[in-house]
Amino acid sequence: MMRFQNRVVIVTGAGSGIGEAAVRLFLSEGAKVAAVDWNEESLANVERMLLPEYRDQLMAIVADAANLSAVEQMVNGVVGRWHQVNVLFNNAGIEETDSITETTEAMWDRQITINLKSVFACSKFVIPHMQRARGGAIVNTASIEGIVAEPRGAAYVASKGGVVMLTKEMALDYAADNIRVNCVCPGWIDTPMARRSIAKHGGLERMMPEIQRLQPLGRLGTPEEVAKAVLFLASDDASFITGTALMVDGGYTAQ
Amino acid sequence: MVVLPQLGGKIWSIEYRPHSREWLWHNPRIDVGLAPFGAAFDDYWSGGADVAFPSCYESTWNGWKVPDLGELWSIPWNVSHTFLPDSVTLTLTVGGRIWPVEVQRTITLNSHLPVVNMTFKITNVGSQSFPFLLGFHPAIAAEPGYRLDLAPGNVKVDEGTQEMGDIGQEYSWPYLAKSESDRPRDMRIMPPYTEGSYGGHFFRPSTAALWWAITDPKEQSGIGLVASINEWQGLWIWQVFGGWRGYYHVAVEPWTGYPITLHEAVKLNSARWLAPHSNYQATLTTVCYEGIDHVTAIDIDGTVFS
Repeated sequence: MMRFQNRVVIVTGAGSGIGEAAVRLFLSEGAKVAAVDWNEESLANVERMLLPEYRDQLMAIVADAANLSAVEQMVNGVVGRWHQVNVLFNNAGIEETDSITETTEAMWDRQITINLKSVFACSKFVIPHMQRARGGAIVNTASIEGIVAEPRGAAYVASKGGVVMLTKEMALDYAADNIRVNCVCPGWIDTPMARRSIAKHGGLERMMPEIQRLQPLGRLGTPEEVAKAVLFLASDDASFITGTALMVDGGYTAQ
Repeated sequence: MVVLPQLGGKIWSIEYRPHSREWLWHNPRIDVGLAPFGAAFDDYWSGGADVAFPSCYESTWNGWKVPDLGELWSIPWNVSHTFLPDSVTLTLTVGGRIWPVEVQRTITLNSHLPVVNMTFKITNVGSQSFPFLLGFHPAIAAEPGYRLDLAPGNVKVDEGTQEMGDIGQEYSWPYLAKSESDRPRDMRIMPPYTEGSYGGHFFRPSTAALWWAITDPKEQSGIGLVASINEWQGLWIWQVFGGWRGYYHVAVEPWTGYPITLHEAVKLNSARWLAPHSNYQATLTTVCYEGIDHVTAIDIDGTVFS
């Protein structure tokens, strides 16, 4: 299936996990992909792995997705080379969990900035290009924690709740421009970020079986499974879907 | 290139790597460092290239007093970077403390060309229109025998020692004659340090081209800058050959108006005005080159002709 032939896709947080998986899938379906991350090293690894096969389809860009100036330059660079942007996958994110009283101002600012402000920043500069092209699709990475709160996740839960509501708001603002805006809400996904978080809260060996037991499907999801949902929402297969938050959580929030 | 966002977004170094050649002048007596807001620029001038806004010399407009070289060179700028496959862009932003402005400057270095593109965007975030001058102040590490080439145009002598012309005198670049009987001085060739001269001249191009180039004829390499006459009115040529504080350097500065003191520019209707919520945009292109001993033109994209 080549659903993204001749389409230009920007993926933020492309250096690992769900972002990296999405880059691979978009490329495999014919898209030209601008892979954006502020971590030069992880982005270089992705580039090294994918460039031999997708030399003309892949552009790696080091930029802070939450910094408006950097994002403006990044989008200019993509449009300068490929003349359009058809899909934006706002995926940059971090997780530093704690309760309100234990959350420092720096932790709060970091998570709100990277998880929520990056959606604002990238969308702000991409949407005018989508409007000129008379359409496009934006997919944001929210979280199950944007729908159901979990303890000791104040800033993360607030940021992801913000992403869900911003998704709905943008969907309304730009429906008339044929720009669809949706988000995915991953549950427990086996990513480097999730592993870091689990290791910090009780250790991987001890916590992993317990977390698996909490999943109706009995396992963690994979980045590829989330990326497939992202591609669905970004594709014409989802042409009548906008403003939705799609759970990709193995049934976790159905309980 | 080395850029110091904390020091007014100063460009500290432009090195042409094939020749290991540093083109920006560094003050041998003043180390690079922070200056207090409102300081006299010359007393803290460590070298490099600075942004001047909204005046070169100290000035007052509407009761708003602006320091020497303006208000942006001594305050920290925010910075972000974007690495694309064939270029890197720094974006520097700062807000004015006196003038109600937001200033954004991008500096883009291409991986395959010795060309640096710089853009300025100045936005009025206040509630009334105001006048301004914008200048870019690159101090070049020139030496005796180096050559300064300019687009065709006319020059006015504003200040300096008598070797560099009489105050108020005008001449067509590059020959300066003090009287009809006087042998004209070729202003393109830089004199020895022992001359002890200096001058501040303002250059206006007679064609649509606005560019300058400083060449080391022995090494056959140089640095040049090109700008659009629609955005910049001319060049302030600050040449010091031992005569001002004992230095030797040349700064050829594009300015959006003249005179380069704001209240004087306002009086002569030469300052630009910015309405609330509007912005002013301008670009500059800097290029390093080699293999030639003089320059006859620089295209707006940075292509150098000899």
